[in-house]
Amino acid sequence: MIHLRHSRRRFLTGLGGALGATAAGTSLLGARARADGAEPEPVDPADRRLLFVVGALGGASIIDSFLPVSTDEISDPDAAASLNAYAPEQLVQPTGSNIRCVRPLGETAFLTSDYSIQDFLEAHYADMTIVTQEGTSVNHGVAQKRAMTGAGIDRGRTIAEAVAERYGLGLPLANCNMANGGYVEPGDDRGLAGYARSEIIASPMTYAMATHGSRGLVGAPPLGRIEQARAVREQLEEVSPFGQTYREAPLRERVLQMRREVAPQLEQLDAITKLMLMSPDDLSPEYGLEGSPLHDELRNAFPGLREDNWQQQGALAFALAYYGMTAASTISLSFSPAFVGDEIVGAPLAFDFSHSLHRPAQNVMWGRVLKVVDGLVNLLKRYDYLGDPSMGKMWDRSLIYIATDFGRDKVRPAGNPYFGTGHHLNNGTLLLSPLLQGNRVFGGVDPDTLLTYGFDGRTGEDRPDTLMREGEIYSLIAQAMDIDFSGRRDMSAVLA
Amino acid sequence: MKRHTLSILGASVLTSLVLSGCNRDRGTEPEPTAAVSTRNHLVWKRYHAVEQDLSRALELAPDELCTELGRFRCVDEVHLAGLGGHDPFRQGLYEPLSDPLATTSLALERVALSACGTRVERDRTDPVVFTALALDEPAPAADSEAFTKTAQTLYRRLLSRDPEDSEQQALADLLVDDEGERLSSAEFAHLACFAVATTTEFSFI
Repeated sequence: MIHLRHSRRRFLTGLGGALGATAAGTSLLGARARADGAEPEPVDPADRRLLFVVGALGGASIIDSFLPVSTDEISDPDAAASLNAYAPEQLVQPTGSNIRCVRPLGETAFLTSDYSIQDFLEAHYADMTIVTQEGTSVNHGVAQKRAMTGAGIDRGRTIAEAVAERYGLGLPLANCNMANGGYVEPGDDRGLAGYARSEIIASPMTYAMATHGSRGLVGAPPLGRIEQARAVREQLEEVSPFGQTYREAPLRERVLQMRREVAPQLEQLDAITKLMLMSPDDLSPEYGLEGSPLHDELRNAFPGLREDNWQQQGALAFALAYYGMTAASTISLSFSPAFVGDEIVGAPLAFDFSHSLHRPAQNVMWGRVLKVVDGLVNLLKRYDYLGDPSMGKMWDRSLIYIATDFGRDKVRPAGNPYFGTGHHLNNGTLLLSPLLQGNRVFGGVDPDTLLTYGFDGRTGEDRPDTLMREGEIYSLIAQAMDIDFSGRRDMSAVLA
Repeated sequence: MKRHTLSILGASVLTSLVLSGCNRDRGTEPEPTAAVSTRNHLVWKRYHAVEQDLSRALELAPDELCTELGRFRCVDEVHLAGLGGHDPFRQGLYEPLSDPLATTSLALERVALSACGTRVERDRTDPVVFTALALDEPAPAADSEAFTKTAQTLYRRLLSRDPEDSEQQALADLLVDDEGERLSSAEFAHLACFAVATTTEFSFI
């Protein structure tokens, strides 16, 4: 649990030290003045919370992972053969776990996985929270965005934007988004503070290069000369007819603000080194760059770091948080297939390959998602926030939200283990955080329909007549992250 | 009556402009000589336009402008999002972002620095842009024709206009270092090109 602690040293540490004072001023950074006219102040790093949104793109089905139904639980044996229920021996519930899952399937066609749902449950059941849910769209893009915005429950802002606005003032990259499709779309609240808008990252492997204006460019003048040219540029901005005519243009002001406040902050933090995911072996000396000090640890946690964009996203999300640059990171699978050598480790269309081959796609893709989450959780549990033991482990302040588009059809051809499924609104969500009640399932599944039902957000009691919607999931995360907004649902029962 | 109303309105606008100017704590900054836009309708110059404009201005092919680590294309790969591009196929980013990112200015700096450096090196043997400079010699004096012509060339090529006197004076600061020692012409050319190509005037349409 996070306790309020205030000290100037922690504050400066959280801002990377060098620019603490500058950032604390927060003359702009897109921050809106409070109603009482006072400048908003950065949250003390000791109180900061970290959100990681993991987009299980394509429709990750909860009844094929952590809320499976066994065929012998269905009252009508004939119906059992036509429902997407698993044979009892295909399910496993580790000792101590209140959650069960689907074992690795023996046959996954041409898809390959080196990590299983079972591996993950055995390692992390104590930190896992399953919440049932039914979405409101079976269109991928629409559903993805609603998973981020709670279907617009909070003025249209995404949960990552909300967390970034709450905790990101003074951080250079408060809200980083490496995701795909609806998960990478900005929210719709034009009143969001500028600093909380997402920083889109297309290539986590090379993103570090974007955090410095000149390092790594062969033939670039020395840094002192660059600063000299930047100072001249500032003069040009002041005296040019364009600069004078558009001196109050919001778009120009934003560029200048980022250039004058955020860019120097990133350079002084040495983000180009700290976020460099490339192996030192791959960086030719002529560029004068080094790999991240975390590189070896990142490679251990994410063995596919060198070639797998998905694992690179997980690695960069951790590094951004560890170095105190980011409050919210969003990562996701993509619809493109992923390969390791000749092996297909990421299905074409990710979870949506379920249209063709439901169970193998779900089983392999859940494993692929959970492998990165496993790496992330392990690092968060091992590292002190900002490298400062007095801050406690990063995990203590973290929440991981496995967002997905929707569920999948609940039926199958009688007795057939190989089938395709369409999109279905009904599903559930996995979250991991010490801020939530772990090793718990909230809501349940009707074994005769495989449809999930809801629960009372205040008491946690099952409510078979209720469905949880995107807004409830958003509210739950917001409440756990200590974010209030008009219309927030009370989800106190799920909080730790 | 209408004329009277307009007169009052005009006076009011003038007064508020003067007052807003008085309210600004601009220190020793020069007094503005241009009217402030009331519409502020600026269009962000995005990746393709940046590439085309730099390519045209410096007479370099687009793929000669900038490469990261000798392998990755700057404009349409590494810095695509930062330079305002969208990426429907790889990232499912179907629409360009409405606002610049935190790293937009740094991305533009990298592209401009690289492109300007390439142009300077090419001009050592086959002058195209910096024709008035002896690039292997010390930078010219601020009152020299070589300096004036170089400033004019950069402004015409990058911003499609001539520099104001005040802008030339500012650029003259790049002829010498902090100790007043003359830089080389090549250094001056590189830095001046970088400074002009990364102004907000270049960044907007």
